[in-house]
Amino acid sequence: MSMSKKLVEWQQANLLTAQQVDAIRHYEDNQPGATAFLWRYGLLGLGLLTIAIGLVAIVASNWNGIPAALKLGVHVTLNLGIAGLMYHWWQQGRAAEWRFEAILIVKSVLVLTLMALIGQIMHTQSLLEDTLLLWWGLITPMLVWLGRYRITYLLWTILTITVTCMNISYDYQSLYLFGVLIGMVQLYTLLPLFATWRINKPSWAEWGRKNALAISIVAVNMMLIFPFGYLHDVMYDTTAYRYLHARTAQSSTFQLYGWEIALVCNAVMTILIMAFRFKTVSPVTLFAKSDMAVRIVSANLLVILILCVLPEWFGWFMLYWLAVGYTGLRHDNRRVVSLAITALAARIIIVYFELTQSLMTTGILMILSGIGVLYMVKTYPRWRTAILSVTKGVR
Amino acid sequence: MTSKRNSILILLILLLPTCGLLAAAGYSYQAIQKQPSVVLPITGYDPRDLIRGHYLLFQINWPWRAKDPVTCTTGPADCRLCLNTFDATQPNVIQVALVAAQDTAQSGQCQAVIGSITHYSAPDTRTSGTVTAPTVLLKNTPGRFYVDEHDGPWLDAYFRKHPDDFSVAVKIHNGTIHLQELLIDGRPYRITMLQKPALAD
Repeated sequence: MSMSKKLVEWQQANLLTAQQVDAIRHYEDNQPGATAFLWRYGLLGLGLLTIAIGLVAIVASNWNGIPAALKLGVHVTLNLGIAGLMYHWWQQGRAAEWRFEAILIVKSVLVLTLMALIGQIMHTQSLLEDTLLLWWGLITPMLVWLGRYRITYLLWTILTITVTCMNISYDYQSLYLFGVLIGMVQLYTLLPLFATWRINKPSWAEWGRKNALAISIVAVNMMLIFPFGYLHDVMYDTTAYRYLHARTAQSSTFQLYGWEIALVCNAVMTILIMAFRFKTVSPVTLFAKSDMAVRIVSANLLVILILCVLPEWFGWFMLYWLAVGYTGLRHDNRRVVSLAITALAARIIIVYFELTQSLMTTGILMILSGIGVLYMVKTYPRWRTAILSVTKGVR
Repeated sequence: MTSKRNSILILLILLLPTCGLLAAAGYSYQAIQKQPSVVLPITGYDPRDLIRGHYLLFQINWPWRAKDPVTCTTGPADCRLCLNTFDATQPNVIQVALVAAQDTAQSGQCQAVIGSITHYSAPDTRTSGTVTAPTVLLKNTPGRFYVDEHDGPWLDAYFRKHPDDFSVAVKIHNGTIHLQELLIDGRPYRITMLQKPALAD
């Protein structure tokens, strides 16, 4: 049973006063490594990131006014500076800290943005498949050698599979499905094996007993979403492009059939995913006592977070996370509330880009949103009470 | 010793992404810049795509040679696009023709050769005697050019009035097209914007 539930029990049994419960919670929440501590920092990070993206959007709205050498110079300096900071931390023996891992992922993303910047300024564009392959090659030594956390290897594996699928399906232009199937097989095999090997070297048996199912579920979910999402896009784009611009279906007959097959597969798989998700990520399982249930939920939440980028899922996504957030409030589970706010905020940020049609406006809105997120982190107890009062849910 | 070796290894691993990327980009840039610049007309664009950035989206309006001696009979992979000044009376006009991939003699006479054709359709003569131009799709057809969000509306308005004035300057390296500049009346679009700001009104 979680400490939060224990505290409620003890308070109801008059073993602790409300003040003592609050004091204990405050103390525990502020211990480094505590879940609440990590989530609060995660939310703080989101707020700061939103503000940073807002600033970037404002800079981007005046992009042509900035000299090319300055743009490149700043980006390269930032990349090298982060490399220097990581080296400094590594020498201090801080490579196992989550901060190091976070900056490792940030550094990897920055390399991709540097590639985009170079392509834009120097006009050295190449195929997306080739670009991603180069990115993969450049960051793989860093991620594999220095990564310590499960999420890093999960992301790396997804990238590996995606790059493989893209390159294979590109080479076999009329056999996209084949490429994706290969990728699926690889993901099935690679992910659990790799995660097992990397994370649990000292305790294989314990890992197998506790985590294999959760990791397998992550693997299955990831497998379904990324290859099929890519397949769907590629098929749709290719077919539509040929019809609209080449005005012929002669040579795209196979692609059309392939696309239809993919669409059906995608629909079936989506239904399966949804059924699976609703079964596992329900408010009941969110607060289940089983450790495995929590892990299954975590795996699925990660998938849903990733799905937040799909426009057609917007309504369900928002409703779902509002429900999850409210359930978290009712149970005073700050972790779930923080997760819901993070998901909602991330999705709203994307909406800004879709709706405002102006980088300047988007930037300003994002900065305001970031400040809002930071304010919500700071004033959690107050607005929790206010919301529960409005919904008459105060226990 | 091991620690020192480890330190050097970690440093190399951390520097690889930035330095490796800069080296690859520099090498690629040098190779592309050595190629001659070719101007190709473009058609139809949508200047706004916020999610992916403010890119002008367009299609190349291939200036086909009037009589095309070669067709892709065995599949698009066996053909290349040859850019050349085919008409002796118009030495400055670049035109495009198909050449067979294995015909190195003919390819050698081209100013530039573009490979990786993924789709080709022959001119259509079935509809009321009108001959449509052949259509080709390339693996890496350049179709977008970054424009500032402030420039988008001007370009959009200008294009509606003067659709035939637009072209792109490209360089062709290893059979792939690399976009260099968006042109209006043969000049970089920003120059036209500065000199004739009211043209789009």
